[in-house]
Parts: sequence; C-alpha cells; structure tokens
Amino acid sequence: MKTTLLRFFLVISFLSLLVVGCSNEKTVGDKGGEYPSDKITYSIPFDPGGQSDIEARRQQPYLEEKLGQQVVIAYKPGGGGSIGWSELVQKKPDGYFISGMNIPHIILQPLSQKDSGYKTEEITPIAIVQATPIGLAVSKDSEIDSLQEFIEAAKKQPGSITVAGSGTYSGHHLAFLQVQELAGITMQYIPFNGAAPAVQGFLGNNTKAIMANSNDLMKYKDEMKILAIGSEKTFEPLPNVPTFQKLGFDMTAAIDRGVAVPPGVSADKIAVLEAAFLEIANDPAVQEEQYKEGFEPKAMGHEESKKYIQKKKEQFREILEELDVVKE
Amino acid sequence: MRVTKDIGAAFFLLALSVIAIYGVNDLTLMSAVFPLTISILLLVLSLIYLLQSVIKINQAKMEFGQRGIMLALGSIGYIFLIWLIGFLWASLLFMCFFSIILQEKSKRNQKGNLVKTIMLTSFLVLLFYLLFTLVFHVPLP
Amino acid sequence: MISYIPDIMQSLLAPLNIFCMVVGVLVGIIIGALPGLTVTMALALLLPFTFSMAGDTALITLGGLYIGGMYGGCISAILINTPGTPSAIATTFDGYPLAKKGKAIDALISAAVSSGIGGIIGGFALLFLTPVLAKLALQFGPPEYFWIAMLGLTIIASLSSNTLLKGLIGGAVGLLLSTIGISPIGGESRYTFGFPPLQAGLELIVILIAFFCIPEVFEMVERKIKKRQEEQTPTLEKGIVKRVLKQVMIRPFLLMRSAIIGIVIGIIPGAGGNVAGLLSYDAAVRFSKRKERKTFGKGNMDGVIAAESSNNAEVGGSLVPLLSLGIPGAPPAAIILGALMIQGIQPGPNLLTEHGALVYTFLISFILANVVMLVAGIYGSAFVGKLITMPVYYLAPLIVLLTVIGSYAIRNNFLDVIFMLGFGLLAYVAKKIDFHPAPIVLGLILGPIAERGLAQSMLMGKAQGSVLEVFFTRPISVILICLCFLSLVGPLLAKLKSNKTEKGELG
Repeated sequence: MKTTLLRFFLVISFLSLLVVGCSNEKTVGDKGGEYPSDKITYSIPFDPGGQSDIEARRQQPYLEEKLGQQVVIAYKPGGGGSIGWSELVQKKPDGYFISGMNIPHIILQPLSQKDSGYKTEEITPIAIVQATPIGLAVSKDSEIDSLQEFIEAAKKQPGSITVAGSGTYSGHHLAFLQVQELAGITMQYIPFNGAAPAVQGFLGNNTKAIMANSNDLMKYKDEMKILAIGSEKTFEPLPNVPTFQKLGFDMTAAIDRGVAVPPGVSADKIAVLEAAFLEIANDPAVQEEQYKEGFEPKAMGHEESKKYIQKKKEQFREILEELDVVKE
Repeated sequence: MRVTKDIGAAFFLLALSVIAIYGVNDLTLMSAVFPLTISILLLVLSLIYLLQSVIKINQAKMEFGQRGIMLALGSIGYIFLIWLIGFLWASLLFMCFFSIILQEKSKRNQKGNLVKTIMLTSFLVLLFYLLFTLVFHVPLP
Repeated sequence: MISYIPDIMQSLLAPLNIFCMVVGVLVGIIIGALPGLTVTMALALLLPFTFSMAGDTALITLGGLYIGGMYGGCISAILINTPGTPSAIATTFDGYPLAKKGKAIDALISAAVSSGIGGIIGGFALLFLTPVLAKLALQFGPPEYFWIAMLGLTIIASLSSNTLLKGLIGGAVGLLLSTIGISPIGGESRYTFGFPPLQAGLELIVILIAFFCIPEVFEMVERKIKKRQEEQTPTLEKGIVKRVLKQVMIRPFLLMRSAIIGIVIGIIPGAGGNVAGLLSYDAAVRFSKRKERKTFGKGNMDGVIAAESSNNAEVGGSLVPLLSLGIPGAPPAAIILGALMIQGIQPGPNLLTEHGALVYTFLISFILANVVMLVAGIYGSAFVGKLITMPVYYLAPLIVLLTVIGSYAIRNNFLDVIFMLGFGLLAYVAKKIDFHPAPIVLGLILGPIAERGLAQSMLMGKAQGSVLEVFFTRPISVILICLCFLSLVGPLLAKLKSNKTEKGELG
C-alpha cells in the first residue's frame, strides 16, 4: 500500500515538473499577427513605490486596454536608474520590452560617468508624458521674499547660502549651476540622496534654500516661500510663482518622465506605442490628476522627444564642460 | 617560518588596502577622501596584524571538512548550471545530487533510499518553485 | 480622534479587513523568514493588489505585512544564523547560539513576545506622539547622521571583545566595500573598474546572506551529523510558553529602552530596523551587570529581547515622518507612501485633517496587528523550531537554493547571485581565521550614512564659515557625541577595573 502511494506521488511530481518546466516560456515575442501579440514588460529603473512607479501604474490600465495585451511592471533599480537603462539598451528590439525614462538622468549620466553602461543616443524615446518643473524655495521664516533679494544676499556673502538638492550632476544640481552662472553668484550646493532626504534636510533648517520638484513644492508650500520655478510658462498649480524666464533668467529646469525602447525597434512598432502613450497623456482626466499632484502633463511624441533630448544634451554639455566633468 | 593562515590573511588585507589606495587615483577630493582614509586605516591595521601573527606562532591550523569543500564546489557548479540550463532543472540536479552525496554511507546503501531521496527533493524543489512564481510572483534567475 | 470612533470601529470590525490583517501578518512572517526576501520586497509584491482594495483595507493589509515581516526575520536568524531581513542581524548574535544549545523554541517565543510588545509600544507612540516625534525627526540633520553612524561603529568594539584587531579590520573592510559605486557627494563612480553593474554598489542583503548564511551552511555539512542533531533538538516542554513569557516580562526596562531606541531610530529617515536592532543590542550589553556581559554572544536571552523589541518598535517610528510629513522613515514606509498616493491620498502636513478617519484606523489596526503577530509567533514557534531537525543533507542544499532565489530577487540581477556565492565562500574562509561577519556588515551599512553625513556637514560648515561649529555645537549632536565617548571608554574602564581586582586578588 505504501509503495503504491509513493509511486503514485513520484509519477505526479514528475509529470507536473515536466509540464511546468516546458511551459516556462522564456521567449516572449511576436506570436504572429498584429503587434503587440504578446505581453509587454514595462521596466522601472527605480524602486517600487517611487514616482516613476506611480506613473507607470497610472498608465497601466489604459495601456492594457489600448494595446490589448497584458502589461507587466518589473523593477530594476540601482545607480539612479543607470542599471535599468544599461539593461534596456541591450534588450532585443522586438518591441516587447519598454522602460521608464527620466530626463535629465539619461543625458547627465553618460556625460559625467565613464561607466554608466549606456549612451544617451541608444535610448530610443517613445514619448514624454510628464514634466516636473524644478523650483527654488527658501524657508517661510526667511527674510528673503523674492529671487532678487536672494541674489543680493548671495552677493553680499558669497558661498554662504546653502541649497539642498537631490544628487550630484542631477537635474537639481544642474539647475543650481545654471542659476549660479546666470546670476553671477556663488552658493553652496549640498547634495542629498533623493528628493525626500533633501526636503527633510531643508525643513530641518540644515540648509537655507532648496531646489525641489514641483510636486514637493506643492506638498510643502505652507512651509516655504517659493521664489521661482523652472517651467517654460506659468505653472498652473502654482500661478503666483514667477518662472525663471519671466524674471529675466534664460533657463528652464525640470525633470521629465517618459517611456523608451532599445535601439533598433522598427518604426511601425514605435508608432503603435507612441499612439497609445500620447492618447493617455492627452486624456483630460489624466491631465487633471497630474495637476492635482503637482505635475505638468506633457505629450511629446517620438520625434519631438528626440529633438528635446538633443537640445538639452547640448545645454548640459556646455555647463559640465566648464566644470571639466565631461567624460564622454 | 611556516605560512600560517593569519599571515596569509594579513598579506591579503595588505594587498586589498593597496588596491584601494590606488583605486581612488583619478577621483576628485570629495569622492576620494572617505575611501582613502579607510584604506590607509586598513593598511595600518593589516601591518599590525601581520606583525602580530609573525610574533605569535601558536595558532590552530585551518581545517576544512571534506564535505564542506564539496558543497562549496558544488554550489559554484550549481550557479553555473543555472546560467546554462535554467533555474528549475539546475535546482533539481543540485538538490538531488547533494542530498544523496551528503548522506552517510550506511544510509546510502539502504533499499529504496535512492528513489526516496529523489522524490523528496523533487517535491521540495517543485514546492518552492511554485510557491515563489505563482504565489509570491518573485522573479527567479 | 474621538469623533472618528464610529468610523474606525466600522472599519476594524469589517470581516474583510480582519481577514486581510491576519493574512497580511502571516504572509509577512513567512516572507520575512526567508532569507533574501525582505519586508520591502514583500510590500512591493503586494502593492499591485492594493489598488483594487479600498483605502482602509489596503493600509491594514500593508501594515500587517510590515509588522509580520519585521518579526519573521528573526526566525531564520535564530534557526540558521541568517537574518531573514536586515533588521534581524542583531538577533543572530544570541539567537543562533541559543538554537545551538537546543533552545531554539525558547528563543523564537521570546522573540515573538518582544517583537509584539515592542511593536505595540511603537504603535502607541505613533498614535499619540506623532507631532512631537515628527519635530524631533526634523532635528536630525547631516551632523547627527554622522554621529549616529559613529556610534554604530563603536559597537564593533563591544562585539569583538576578544579579537579587537580583527573586528576593526572587519569594520574597515566593510566601510571600504560600502564605497563601491557612485560617491554620494562627488558623484563619481568608485571602484567599479569599468564594470557598469557595480555602479549601484553592493547590495546589503546579498552580503548579509553571503556572510551569515553561507559559512554556516558549509560548516553544517562538515560537522558530524549525529552529534549535531543531539545538541540541537529543541526541547518542547509543556508550559514553555508561560516560562518564556515570564522571562521576558521581568525585564520591563530592557523592553522599554529597546523600544525607545527603536522608535527614535525609526523616525530618522535613512536609518532603519537594522541600525535599531544593533544599537539596542549594544545598549543591552552595556547596561548589563558585569558578570553577565561575557554571556552575550553565547546565548543570552536578553540579546534577543533587545534586538527584536527594538526592530518592531522601529516600524512604528518609521511611519511617523511618513504620516506627518510625507517622508518615509525607512524603505518599507516608502512603499506604503506609494500605496497611499495611488489611492489618491497625499501624505503630508495635511494628512490628518483631510483623511483623519483613515489614518486613525490604520494606526489602531497597526497595534492590533502586533497582537496577531505575537500570538502567531508564539504558537507557530513550536512548529517552526522543529524544522531545523530536518536532515542536513536536505537542509543544506535547500538553504543554498533559497539563498540563490533570495539574492536574485532583490534586484533581478543575476550578478548578485554570483556576488553572494563569491563573498560567501570568502566569508567561509574568513570564519576559519576567526573573522566575525558582524563588523564587516556594520561597516557596510554605516559607511554610506557616515560618509554622507560627514561630507554634507563639511559643506554646511564651509558655507557657515566654521566646520567645527556644525559638528559639535548642535544639541542632539552633543548628546550623540557623549554616547560615542561613553561607548568607547566604557569597555576600557571596565577592563582596567577588572585588571585591578585581579591584581588585588593576587597581591
């Protein structure tokens, strides 16, 4: 009796192993028919729970509906995104692997590191769907009330004004450098490892000012005075904050989020993905949500994004070359 | 003077600290300060260690059990196998192989033992595999 | 809060919510117990499921998972000397020796009780003291982080009392390893040797598994099987629960102190459960009577109690800055932040006014989850403790299997698996030469915190015109500096005193 049971058990295990082992399809791809004909992997080069993750999850249901296929979100965090992007550019260009993309990260990383693992041009943008303008703010108890006063204070005591920001050679840092150069002042940048630690450091009065993302500026607007913001035109959720450009500084500063694919994906597949993402980006309900949370919705397609990235790259290259940092 | 394990370790650490010091060569001051300080510290400590181990001679020899080395080498092979034939099959082979090898000789020659082992290990591997992929959605190598 | 009570009761008594809480805690315990799968990962896995849930259900489930996971880490820490989550590192110090003495179930039960009590204290602090604690959290700036890291490093001295030199070397190696990757201030990649995947640095969990688990597994196979089984079969007498409960409850100061340490560390964003457990263990050692001190590291229950109660209290602490300021106090809290945002809730200064009922429901469910965990832990311990009596020839390869899964699952990176094994073999050899893994891991954890704190403070000092002022004149910094000093000087004084008494006896 016992042996028969054991034998039975053995057979079942073996059979199920075979089934599982064989059905474990590692190959995803065109199953014939229209693209997309199989599930799509949407990789996020950051930790789960972060802003990029939230954006992807916001898009996911719409995507699945429009593309008619399952969209699986995966994470590949590390190196501020560079691990995920190095992986992206090595994937097969079959259109079934897409990745979140962040500007200026994908521009600044290859420019400033010799082993970022990818080149900016290898990242083929599908669309840019969100902009997070970067703004300069001081504590609400500060005596400074405007950007002009801020600059005067900096000129009086060069190097004494500390500005918190997230990362070195990042969007915040570059914005800081641009302000320094355009205003002709010297300040002290204090990098933190993330937007949240920067806000925390600033709120704890460890720095006098902060370069922050628009959604953080919105969240904490009662605790700070926002002096200027880096969007091109007035930022709707913060209508009383002047843009840098309005105040006479020819600069824009923002962190843009979008989606990209590996180099070599065929034009028709790019078009399909682009259409889906742009449709989501232009959806009024989605746009309203973005404003509420403090973001600026964008809808730049493949070609427009490519030009934008190129333009930004030239801008940044100039700044970094002055600092003798360029490694490309 | 015999080369005891401590002396070997001390040299290893010395080499490590030298590599570390060299590695910060082309970095700016800001990036280099911390690692440089630590590597110099390590250098000093390793020197002290070296001196200490030369002076003291009575140290126990390093013992490695035969089985331990087998498992170690086997694990390296296992990782390699995963790369070659995929996680599931590599795990199966690895588990079965070692469950059998690691048993004591007396048990090994028991009747039906081989079959029992293979079954049990297959079951365990399958269980964990399903658990992780289906229930937890954990990505596997 | 009083006005919300009807809503809160309705939420808490809803069968679905109760079910989710229990399931959350149980799943959390299981995931926490598996080495390589962390609480953060567990929460991330559950995140997608929470979208379709109502706000309160989602939060209750996640809270339960968080608590369960924090506790679960101690199970593998005690049984196989591998912290299932980094927060359980300190639990291995005395938990595993206890298991080796056949007292695994005792350890597991006391861990469950301590975790539960610590978590409840943390939960109450969260409920009533959030505004105060939030202000305290903001007081921690770069200099304070630096001194906390220093304080943590002084623990190395107390951990390796016999082989101080080797402990220091270990710590230095750990610190060095932590510098691999992009430097926090300079922004350049260090020690990557042109190898892009190294840019992100070494992953803590991978090193944890490599250093704690692998050597143990290999040693496990080396020992004679019979002998091992004799010494390790855990005893299960009747009334064991009552006995262990008493053991824990007669140490209220220990529990309180550890919980407070946990809460304080928790509210500091960036320092998580691992630091809490370690600092609290260290405090337990220092405050113990001198005769007892030698028993730490060899199976002193107090070590387990200290470590476990503080890491669960830390959970409550980490939620303070999240709920009051929208800044997560630890990575798992960041996931909860994400979950909240997807639900359309923006944690920040206005959270309580806009979503009061939801927040209070969450906080109270949090306390209840701790109770669930406590019960599950106590009664599950007996069953779980027997697991290690599984024959070695199954257990060892199985553990290797689990470590492979775990190290891969962190970052979906096969390289991590290779690293894990590589470092694991190294650690196996190192152990033979008497190098303890704990200082290395400490260095690895505290390195980045120390470096960032140091560099940021120096920049601040540069702007202010006085670096010294920044480091030494801030109130919290001063307290921390004193603690560091005591930490270093204490053992030395003790040694001097004991030498004196020896001399006195001889002469």
